[in-house]
Amino acid sequence: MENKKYLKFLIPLVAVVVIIESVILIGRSSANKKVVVDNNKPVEVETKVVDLKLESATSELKMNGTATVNLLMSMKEKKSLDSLAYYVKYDPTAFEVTNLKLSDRLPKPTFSKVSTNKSMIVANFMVADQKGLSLSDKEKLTVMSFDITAKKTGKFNFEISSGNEAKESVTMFVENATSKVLPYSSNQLTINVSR
Amino acid sequence: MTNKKNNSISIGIIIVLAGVLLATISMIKNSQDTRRGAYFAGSTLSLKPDTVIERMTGEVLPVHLWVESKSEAKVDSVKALICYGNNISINQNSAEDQIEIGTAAGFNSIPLALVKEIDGKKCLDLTVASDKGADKLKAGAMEVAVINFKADSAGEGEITIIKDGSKVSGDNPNNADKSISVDGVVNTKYKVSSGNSSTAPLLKMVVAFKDVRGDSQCANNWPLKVTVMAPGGVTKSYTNIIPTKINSSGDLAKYSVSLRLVGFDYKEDLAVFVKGPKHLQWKYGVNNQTSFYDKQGGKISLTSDESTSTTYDFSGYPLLPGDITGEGDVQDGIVDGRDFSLVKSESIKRTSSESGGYLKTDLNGNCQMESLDVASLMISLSVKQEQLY
Repeated sequence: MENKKYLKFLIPLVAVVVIIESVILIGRSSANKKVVVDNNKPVEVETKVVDLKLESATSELKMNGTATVNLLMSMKEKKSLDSLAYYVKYDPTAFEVTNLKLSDRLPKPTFSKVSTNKSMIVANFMVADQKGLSLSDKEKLTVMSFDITAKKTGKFNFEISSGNEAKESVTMFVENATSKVLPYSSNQLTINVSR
Repeated sequence: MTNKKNNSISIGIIIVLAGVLLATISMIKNSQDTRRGAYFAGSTLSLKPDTVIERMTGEVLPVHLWVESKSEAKVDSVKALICYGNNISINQNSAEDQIEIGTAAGFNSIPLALVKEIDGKKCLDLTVASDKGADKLKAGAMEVAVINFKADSAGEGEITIIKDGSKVSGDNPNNADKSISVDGVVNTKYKVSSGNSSTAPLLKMVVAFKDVRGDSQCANNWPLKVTVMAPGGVTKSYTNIIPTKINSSGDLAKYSVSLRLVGFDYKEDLAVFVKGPKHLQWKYGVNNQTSFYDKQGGKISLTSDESTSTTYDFSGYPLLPGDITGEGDVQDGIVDGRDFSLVKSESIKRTSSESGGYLKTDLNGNCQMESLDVASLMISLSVKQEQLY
């Protein structure tokens, strides 16, 4: 009789121990299997890392009048770049572009040209340095400047080219090490030429 | 009565407990079993070219079998089960004769080739091995064999590697387990056209890749895309044309191409566009061309007769490297900052391949990533931009 009382106590105790052990063992064996269930994945919003701004002291010009256009680059984050390619689209029938100057902060350009054939002002920089060109957060630099002379009346735009159908003339910034293309924002500069 | 009831409960509890214990042991054992027989590295088997291979009936349709091992694993044996359509064949009685083993990758055994039928499809069970020591084995991407199918009848189809029927093994310095898992396969397609290929215009030309020297060890079998254009803008493209290297020394490796322009009925005033696997497309309009051809059309004349056909020498204007990558890691036909950054990062890592291997960023084909490749790409960009702008 005493023996059975003892069993009544022992069996539930062993049962509890076995269940706890089972849970622990199974838990351990699957501990390394990482299953990420993300039912609430945030929508990725592309943050513009670079801001390009075309600006001129004036937006009004007389025929044959001249002005200087600057292309300003502002960094939103600290980044190191392997390549910087700038393409500014313009109308060569409306303006003569001269005196293209590039920032000393940038390396020697791999290629730069004012192309009347392609209606494009081009400046390409490939950074051979292992670490790339390091640009700090909030750094601002005038990457290029050029003079324009008005050739005909009307409203004409200067804008950053994002490429044509042949994938040419794509303004692009490629990050060092990751080879990722950094998103950028840009504006359009309108010059009104009058008599 | 109460005692009997208590006994039944006790027995029930014991049975449940025993069940729980057995289930636990079984689950833990299962989990451990998955670790047995682990592969020491991974690999991918590929059939190259991976785009449609076009041939005429009666012609040889070569398919290159490649393996790319991961984790620097050295490969000593590849068994690939390759199934193909009814338009092409391997002679069952002399299958080995239609196989060229990849000696550059160190394979040296007589290939074991068995033609069999699986689910109504003809398949080639091919085993290629090396008996060399670990120090002579290669790692990374390498050519295992060339399978010379015969194009029997007009039609098109796929040539596929059956992953489950394929095996790779190699030298494992840490363990006796030599198995390398086949993680992925890349298949190809063929198209066989009927007709007499000997009446088609014959394009014979010599081309070169910029910065690739005669003694370059990793610039073999680079496939070309050749497009011919007739007056009026009629074009036809031929892909996966494997050129033959004709010199093994000198500053510039030259490659010959002999291509029957099947399906192209023009022979006069042609322009030829050639693109290498990591190169920009170049236009050739005249024999012995040495610079950018900036005219419309071209002045290339062809015949169908091997003996009267001119061999056009375009090696004076070598194909320019630069189309390495693009958006989504896909080649886009142009050279830009993405290509530069990728070549630069690989050169910093000093990535290298074994002789006979292939690195897409190795622009001069010397099996080694270095500053020369970076410089080569910068020149390419500059040259191309001068042409464009």
